[in-house]
Amino acid sequence: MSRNKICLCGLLACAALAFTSAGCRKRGEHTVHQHRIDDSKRVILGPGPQLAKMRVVPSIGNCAPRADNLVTFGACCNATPCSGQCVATAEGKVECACFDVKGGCPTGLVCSKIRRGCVTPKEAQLP
Amino acid sequence: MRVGLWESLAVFSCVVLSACATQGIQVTGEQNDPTFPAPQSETIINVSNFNGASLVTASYNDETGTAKTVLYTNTTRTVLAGASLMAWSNSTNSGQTWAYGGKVTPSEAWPVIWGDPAMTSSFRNQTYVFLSNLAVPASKMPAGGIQCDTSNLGCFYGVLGGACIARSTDGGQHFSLYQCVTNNNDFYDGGSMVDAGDGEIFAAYVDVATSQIDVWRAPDENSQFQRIAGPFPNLEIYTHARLRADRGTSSIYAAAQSSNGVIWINRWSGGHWGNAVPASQASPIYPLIALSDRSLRTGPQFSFDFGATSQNGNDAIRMLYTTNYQADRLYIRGSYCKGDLSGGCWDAPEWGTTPGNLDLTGDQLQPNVRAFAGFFGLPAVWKATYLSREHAPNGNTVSLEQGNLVVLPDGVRVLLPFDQILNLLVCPDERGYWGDYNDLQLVGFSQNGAAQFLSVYTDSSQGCPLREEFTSQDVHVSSTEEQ
Repeated sequence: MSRNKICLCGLLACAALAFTSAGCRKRGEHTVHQHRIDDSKRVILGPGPQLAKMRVVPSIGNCAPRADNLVTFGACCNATPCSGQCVATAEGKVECACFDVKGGCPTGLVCSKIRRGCVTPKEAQLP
Repeated sequence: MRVGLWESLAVFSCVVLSACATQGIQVTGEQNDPTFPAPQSETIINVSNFNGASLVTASYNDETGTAKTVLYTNTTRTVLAGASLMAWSNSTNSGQTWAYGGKVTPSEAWPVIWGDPAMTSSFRNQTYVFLSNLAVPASKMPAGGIQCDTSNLGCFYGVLGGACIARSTDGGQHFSLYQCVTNNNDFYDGGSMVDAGDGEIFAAYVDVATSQIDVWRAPDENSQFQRIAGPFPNLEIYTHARLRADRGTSSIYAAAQSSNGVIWINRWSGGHWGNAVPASQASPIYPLIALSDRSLRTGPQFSFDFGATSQNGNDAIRMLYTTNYQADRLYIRGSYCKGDLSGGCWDAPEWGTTPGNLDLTGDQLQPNVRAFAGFFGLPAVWKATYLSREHAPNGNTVSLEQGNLVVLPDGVRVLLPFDQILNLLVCPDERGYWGDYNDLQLVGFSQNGAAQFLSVYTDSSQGCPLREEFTSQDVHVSSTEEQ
């Protein structure tokens, strides 16, 4: 028997077994060929969205809220506690910001590096 | 050979045929095992050929024997010098039974060894097995211990200052501290290890202070690790790295997720890194999963391997990752790259869960990929596993699913998964911690020549009677064979 015939027989045996098998959950309603993507038309993955860059300046003073400044940020900007970082504006002023959140995070939230925003302390954890 | 409709249907049906769930085998937590009273979670696995037999080693975060060094109340945790989570179990029968191996003791210079296990063996001399954990240097250890409470969940971020690597010289049966690595006591997180096939051993961690992946290399099994150049110098990296190897060319690959959510991959070959390329759509970093009445935090949401290419010739690297790209839920999506990473990497939604070939609901997450390259007529296999909420999209359970990343003879890519373990009760502590990652490895071959893989995973099938801020029970480790 040729290799192709053996292969086909094996596959058909599998198919027969599958259709008579009981107690095993059926998965997927589509045939695989409905989802064919030709490799020649496939998307090459790109670098993703550009993130806004902030000009972070040093915290000055002792008013910063508790933060490790590794995973969450806290700073003292203009002698005011900042749940975020001190950043320089285009006009040269220093403001508090947690990434896009001007003024930093409200009470109860922390400025998370990985979330790039204000979240609960639990949401800011690293694994 | 062209494949017709009936043959494709037969292939499809064979996969459907396999859709029967199984039961896991306890690695830890058996009633008479030393691990029974304490939690274990977050697993990694290694297979060594030692004295002519296969020896499987699983490692995990283990609190066995820490009653005097890790102290809990409902809302606090205090960790004292001498605490170690670095432990292992062995199996001599490909995961059918397990025995607790022991625990690595910290040193004076590094008084706390604190989890995030990574492990590899030297391919050319598999008596050598390396096991890594994060660690606290004496210089950062607070005099009264590391105090954690609900107002200070990140109590470890300021004290972790590197990682300690233990070595076994008997295939993984015993480990002792070999070397601790640090970059000026920066906070290291995660951990991944791989051997390049020629005796070189690599370890990688994310340096949270610099947002870079630090890679350490030992030129052979008996040399010290030295830090080498990082794979992503021009990127801001936020996640753990994962390392894999092409042992045929003694090359390794590193992948990690950057601040904008894209996973990047780079190749170390001939003593230097190439150019990093994007390998995913932008995706959530460490997504939190809201279950019915609890939340589950997650670790790195990508996995890849190097293996045999399909007839298309462009997919020696195959990756799965968790994403919500063009969707309102988390699902698994695929990608692939050439072995030399030339031309970048390509999107492969067909290797995903939704969109892809499946109609699923609920989140899918935590993928693992392992390749068997094939030899002596045995076909190459690309095995994949992931957790799914498809059976209980709004519940507190997940299932472990498994399948193969297949390329059919006519070039169609497909993932047809089936249930491996159903109704895994998720039992995180109040922070959401329930082990941040699982692992998958090739462990051998069945009598009919089929590649056998083994998954290890965090398991709370004994119930979840206790959930406090920093601990939960019952949390142990189980394994299951994937064929």
